[in-house]
Amino acid sequence: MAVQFAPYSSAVDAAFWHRLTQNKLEVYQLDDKPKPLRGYYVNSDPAGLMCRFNLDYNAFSVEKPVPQKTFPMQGTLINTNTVEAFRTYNKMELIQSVGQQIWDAIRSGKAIEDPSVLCQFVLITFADLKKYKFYYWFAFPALCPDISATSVASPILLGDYFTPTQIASLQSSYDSLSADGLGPGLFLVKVSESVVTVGRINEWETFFSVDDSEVLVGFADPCTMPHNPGWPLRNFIALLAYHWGSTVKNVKVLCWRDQVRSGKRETSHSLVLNIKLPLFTKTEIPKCVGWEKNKSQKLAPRMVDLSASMDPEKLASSSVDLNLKLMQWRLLPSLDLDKISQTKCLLLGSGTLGCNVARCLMGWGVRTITFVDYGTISFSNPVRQSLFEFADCQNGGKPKADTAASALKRIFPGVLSIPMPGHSVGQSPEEIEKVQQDVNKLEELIAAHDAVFLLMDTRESRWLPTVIGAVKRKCVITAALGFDTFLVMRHGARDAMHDTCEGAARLQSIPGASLGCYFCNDVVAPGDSTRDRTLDQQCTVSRPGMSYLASAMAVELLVSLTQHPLGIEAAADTSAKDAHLTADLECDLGLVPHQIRVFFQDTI
Amino acid sequence: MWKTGILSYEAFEHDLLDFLERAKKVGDPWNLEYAKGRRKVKYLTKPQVQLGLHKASEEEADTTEDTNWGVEEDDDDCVQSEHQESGVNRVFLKYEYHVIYSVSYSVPVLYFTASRQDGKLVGLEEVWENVPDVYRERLEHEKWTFLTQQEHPYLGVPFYQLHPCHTADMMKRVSSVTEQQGTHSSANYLVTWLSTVGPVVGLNIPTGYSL
Repeated sequence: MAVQFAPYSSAVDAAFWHRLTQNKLEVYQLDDKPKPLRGYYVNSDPAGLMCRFNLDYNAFSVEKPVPQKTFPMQGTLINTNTVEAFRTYNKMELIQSVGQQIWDAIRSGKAIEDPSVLCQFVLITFADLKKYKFYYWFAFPALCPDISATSVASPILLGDYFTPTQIASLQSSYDSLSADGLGPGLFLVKVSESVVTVGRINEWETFFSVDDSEVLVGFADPCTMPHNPGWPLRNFIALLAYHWGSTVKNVKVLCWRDQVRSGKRETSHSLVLNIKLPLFTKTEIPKCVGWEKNKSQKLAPRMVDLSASMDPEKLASSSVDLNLKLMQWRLLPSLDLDKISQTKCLLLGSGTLGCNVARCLMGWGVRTITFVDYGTISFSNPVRQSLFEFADCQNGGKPKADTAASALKRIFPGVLSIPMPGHSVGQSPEEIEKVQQDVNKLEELIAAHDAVFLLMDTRESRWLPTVIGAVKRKCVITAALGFDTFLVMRHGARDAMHDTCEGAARLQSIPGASLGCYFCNDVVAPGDSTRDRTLDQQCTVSRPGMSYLASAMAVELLVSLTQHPLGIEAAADTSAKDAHLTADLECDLGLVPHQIRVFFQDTI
Repeated sequence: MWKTGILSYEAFEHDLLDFLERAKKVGDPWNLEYAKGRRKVKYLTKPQVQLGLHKASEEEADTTEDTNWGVEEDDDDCVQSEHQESGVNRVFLKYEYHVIYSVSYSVPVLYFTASRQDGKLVGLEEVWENVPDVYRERLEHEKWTFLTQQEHPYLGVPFYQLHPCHTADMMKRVSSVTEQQGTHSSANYLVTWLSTVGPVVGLNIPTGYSL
């Protein structure tokens, strides 16, 4: 029965692809000439794993030693410049040329002195650096004899072949040939009663006695299968057959498997094969095989898409999400992050409140933020309005909504931010037609979003969106600043079908349908709020910290609402009394009040 | 012992070299690495493979089919794929553990990454799924098992990190316990610390380290 060898299964570290990318951009550029690489295999994997061949971060540093207890393999990289070049590259010629090197090394005897030339690999790649996709294909060239090696007897476990004393002797002799934690990959073995000795290939003539009835050789075996040897044996027995095949027909082969399990070294699961050497009848190079099959076991390349770990935008996105997920995993398992991130937010006003609300929303992973503002940035703005800079005020100032939207994109490219300039809502009596258009546009915008933040600096401008928001039953949140006071409020989800709530004042919570809007709860009668006001009454003149506080409260209020089972119809908690820390609240994020009014004078 | 729970870099390096010696004896494949561009800064790495379950849904379809790639092979001496794991489609996950000294926290930090065979990173959720149940509970309750994702300080690629903010606190407690028992003559900070936090992320420190 022909001996069947288990092929390598390539394992590439992410760090290798990072290094390849770096080299392609900084060193190779369009150079597609062969480059040296080094990989390694192990013979210590637990049963069930495939013959693992590794390529790691240090693959390009050929001179760097491989990790402890591994076996180095030299290789060649061909990095093509286009997918077409990758496809049409003459791969049969490529593997045959490496096969030629191996064959030459066998014939010249170079492989006896340096058996590492027998274990080589080839890697052909195409790196699509725009999409972070890597096409790759490994080959592990193996020479095909004219007559294959055959099994003379069934494989025997080392534990059954040797006594424990012999195994211990074998281990220590093997270790004595190791240097810096790296043992020989291919070696000779001889037994003299309880003493087992390991030797190097180039010692063959003196190592074995002429009258040795059988020859035992060994190789570090990456295979974990119970009956088959791994790939490195193929070229090894080609070497044996070429040099010693005329005198030695049968050899025993130790498939050296050397693992540590719970701190204990085990080698007795190694195999001992009894094989008849293959036959190479011609002197010219034999056929060479070894292209790795892909995941579906076809002779085709593999492809890996690493955009999730290499594309900076995707990385930023996943880091932001991970941060939020940690909050969910560690503190609030019931937190529904998707509900938050999918909430489309319309920000009316892009001033101090608008800038800070937007930043805070991004912190919660909100992905869709639309700005509406008709103003331009003035010199006093950047110090308070956290999305603007000095340069934005020059030459008359850039439009606020536009600038805020592009600033958000710079901070976090994963956000979809839309500027909507030029809506002088309710303030342009001259052009009725224009106003009508603006009103229609505003109505469309509110309809297209889930939450509307009223962040303007006048009472009047809040009126129309309040009405539209109420009609469309959207979540409307108002934030308004005074000099040292602020108000944050969610508008009620009043609906005509509901009866009004009698005696709400006596309740601990007021049903969401009975809550009013900003105007319902106003403390002054409607009037022109911009006229005849002293400086301290204009709300833009406020203590700078106010807007940060108010914006943060407004966003947290929205987030709490998204987590409430009733959403915008959530009842307003008026008080949980002393039990506010322990009470079984309906929302996992705690109390969901109707409005928050802060008077700084009283608190400082 | 580490009454304060923290270590200087010199003490870390001392224990690191001692740890490597012990690892060698145990046969645990830890490697010594040097920080890029800072030859004097040492850290430890250990690769580990684990069998994972094949998730068809996670795999992208091979887009490389139906093209002539110019390779034809006829190889009777190769184990045929259908013999390789009788029908069971096993995959392996590659873990890599790094122990790096944190100057800010004055403690060692455990970094790790997990990837598939082709280098694609495995998400934290899937890492969780591979954590044994008994430890998963610890992750929920013990604050020193707080995981975050960080850029690797020397390699610049994303790694998971067991956050160091509670390491000193935990080690201080361990230190006071072992002190009472008077069994600390051959104590190594890294052995004590890693055998406590490592198993949570699949990293085991066999008892051979403390013999």
